[in-house]
Amino acid sequence: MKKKKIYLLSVLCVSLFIFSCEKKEAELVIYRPPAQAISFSDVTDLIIDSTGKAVNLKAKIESKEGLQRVEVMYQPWNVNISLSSFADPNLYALNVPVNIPANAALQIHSIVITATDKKGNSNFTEVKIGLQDLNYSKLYMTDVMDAALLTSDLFGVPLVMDKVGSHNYQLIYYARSSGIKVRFVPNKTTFTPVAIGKDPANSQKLTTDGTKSLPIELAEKGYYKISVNTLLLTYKVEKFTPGGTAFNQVALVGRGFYDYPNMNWQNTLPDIILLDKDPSNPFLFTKQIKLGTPTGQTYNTAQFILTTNNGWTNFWRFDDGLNPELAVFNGGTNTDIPITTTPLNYLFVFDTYTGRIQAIKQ
Amino acid sequence: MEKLPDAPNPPVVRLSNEIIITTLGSDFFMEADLEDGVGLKSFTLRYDDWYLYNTVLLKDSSYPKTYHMKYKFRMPDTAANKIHSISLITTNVGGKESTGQFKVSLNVDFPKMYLIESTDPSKLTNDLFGIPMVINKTGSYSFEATYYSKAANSNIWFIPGKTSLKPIMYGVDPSNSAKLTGDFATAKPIVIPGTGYYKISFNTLTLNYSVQQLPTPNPANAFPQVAIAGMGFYDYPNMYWQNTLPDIILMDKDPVNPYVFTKTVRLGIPPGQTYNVSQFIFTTNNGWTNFWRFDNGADPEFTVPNGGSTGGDFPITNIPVTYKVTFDSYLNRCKLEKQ
Repeated sequence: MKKKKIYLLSVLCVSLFIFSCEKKEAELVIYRPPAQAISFSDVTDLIIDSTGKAVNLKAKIESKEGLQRVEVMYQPWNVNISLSSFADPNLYALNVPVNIPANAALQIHSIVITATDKKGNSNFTEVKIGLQDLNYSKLYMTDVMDAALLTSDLFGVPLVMDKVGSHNYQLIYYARSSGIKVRFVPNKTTFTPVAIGKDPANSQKLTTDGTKSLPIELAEKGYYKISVNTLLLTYKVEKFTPGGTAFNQVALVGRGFYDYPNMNWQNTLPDIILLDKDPSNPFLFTKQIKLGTPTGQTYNTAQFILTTNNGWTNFWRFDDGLNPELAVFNGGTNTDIPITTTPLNYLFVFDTYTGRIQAIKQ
Repeated sequence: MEKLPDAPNPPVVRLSNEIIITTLGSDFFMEADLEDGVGLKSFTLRYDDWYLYNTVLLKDSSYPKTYHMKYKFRMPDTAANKIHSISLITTNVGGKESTGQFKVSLNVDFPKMYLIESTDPSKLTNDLFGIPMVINKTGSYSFEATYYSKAANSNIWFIPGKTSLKPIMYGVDPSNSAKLTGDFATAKPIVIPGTGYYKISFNTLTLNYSVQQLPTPNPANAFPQVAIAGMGFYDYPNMYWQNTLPDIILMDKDPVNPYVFTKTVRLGIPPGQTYNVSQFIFTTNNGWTNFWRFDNGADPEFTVPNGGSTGGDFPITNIPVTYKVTFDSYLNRCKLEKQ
């Protein structure tokens, strides 16, 4: 009996002890953060530079107890610097060069600086290194998943985006059906090594690795404003409503259309090709066309522009005659694209709101 | 006491948004995926400058093996214009820790940026227009100024708004002269060593900057004469939009820089006139060929050769106000300083 009493008493004591411990811990956590034994200032928080270059990581490290060790660590780049000798152990100005490897992954890298004092207290800070290499002069959006479709088009696949600032790209895009999947590529003809898409480990972030990145799915048909930041690897997809009035008619004018042997730069019907206005988007015009030297003709290039079937007023030419990326309203140059007597079938998709035009092989 | 299992390997922390760009007083989210093979015990977010110190225990979630942390915090209205580092410390049931850090920056992608030659705030309001001097934005966070340095060792700073030096004024960081700081209290001037035109480029995110001397523009390409044409100049009662002498005001060509023209004028209703606004443009004293109007008539920031809108409808009274007009026809910048 007595033994049991002692046992109970000790349980009570222990539980009281636990209770007080927990209470104390809770108070500490909520109300009184322990002072940092080591503090950092003037840290080079963010560096933007290119692969293959050296950057200097800097930080002022203060320690009341005196520094025992400062480490700079980043395993992916085999950075493992350990310093243990300090002229003034209470204040150390760290300044170490680090090489950004030529094959560094295209992402933000976080180099960790850890300092430990003579009593074993430690603190850390990070230097984030973003890559200038991701500041592509042009970025394209693909709405196709099959790499072969990147090269089978005449032009316009993938779609060139607007560069709105350093590392920032934007595209107004009309999704012609629901569930269209998009990724972003700096090279028009391939998904490797870079095809930017959702990071499978984190759907709010992008990854540049073409073998891992997942497409962003546009749920419904309609216009979207798609923004990509290749420094922060973030993206934003917003529904978009175009303003203004669409043209009633859009036509192809020029030559080199296999089934229209007489349309040598005439500008009225029937010697122009009226495109079909999309039933749900008045800005969008499409038409399936055979490109080739028509029977009886001798020229071997297709030359064309788009007009509003309005004489020569209100037309679109192109930013580049051989490899067009954009239609230029009331400006630009005519196309001049080689053709043969074997016709090739293309679907022309022209968005008069965005000036984006595609000729997709059928 | 609960006996927690051994967990000898530290947890894995993957930050979703390691760099956060936001504005003063705005909420932002810090997000991360936490993972541990045995179990996650807690995570702590800490940034003493903003009194953030919070440990979230994951006991109620039964020490999960994976946890998506999404933590809302507000950037204080008083936050300094620098990069702020919020530490995330994740602890597993074995007491092993892993760390990560969010870098939170003010959205310093200002739509416009202006150059100042003095930190005297009264200079910002002592002009009709032209002070501070607008510079070019060349990309997000990237600005470029072309500046004519009249004398060696001239001092300049940059501000994102026209009327105040606070809280953001860019100048050389006193602790690192290779960088700028946006803190008006500590920013030191960028010193332009010589005379002539200089290009100053900087990035408000990385705070890198460069100063580069430009070749002297060919003096032969400067116009021989520049004049003010318009109305509302107190001492020129007859110059009501005439375009020939004597009813235009010929400016004085700078003896050193042939592209710069200056003139001290009095704005006011000339005796005998009834209009009560001043309007003007610059011409080359050449009829109406080769002239400069402004980007914005009511509030000019730069001149537009052979285009733009007439500067004007500046209210005037019978009491003349003296201004020194300085027009740099190379830079297309003009200022009217009250004398």
